[in-house]
Amino acid sequence: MLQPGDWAPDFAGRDHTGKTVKLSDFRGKPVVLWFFPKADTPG
Amino acid sequence: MGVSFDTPAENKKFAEKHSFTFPLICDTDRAIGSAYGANVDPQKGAQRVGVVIDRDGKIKEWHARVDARAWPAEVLRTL
Repeated sequence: MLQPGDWAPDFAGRDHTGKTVKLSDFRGKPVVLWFFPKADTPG
Repeated sequence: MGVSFDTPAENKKFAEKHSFTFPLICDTDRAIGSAYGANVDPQKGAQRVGVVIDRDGKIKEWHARVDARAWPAEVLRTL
């Protein structure tokens, strides 16, 4: 499991507009990632 | 950024409904979820993992379960 201080695994993925988003695009800025199970579900 | 295993069409609908100003990543092959510990049950959607990555690209915080409504806004205030 990831621990504070570990390198964040780089990734590239498509966003909801079809644009490719890479973690490395945000170098020099903090990034907040949150995972959700299904679009538009409460919880 | 939000991440789920949904398709771009599903997440586009979600983003438009709520006028989100941040990207929703469509991790349809679950590669990002697997790398970040959110693909706990391959039969289900992503677990609600929350991650803060610092400016150097290192993990600052990793939480197994966060409140998707409150946590991102809370953590953004601390950055």
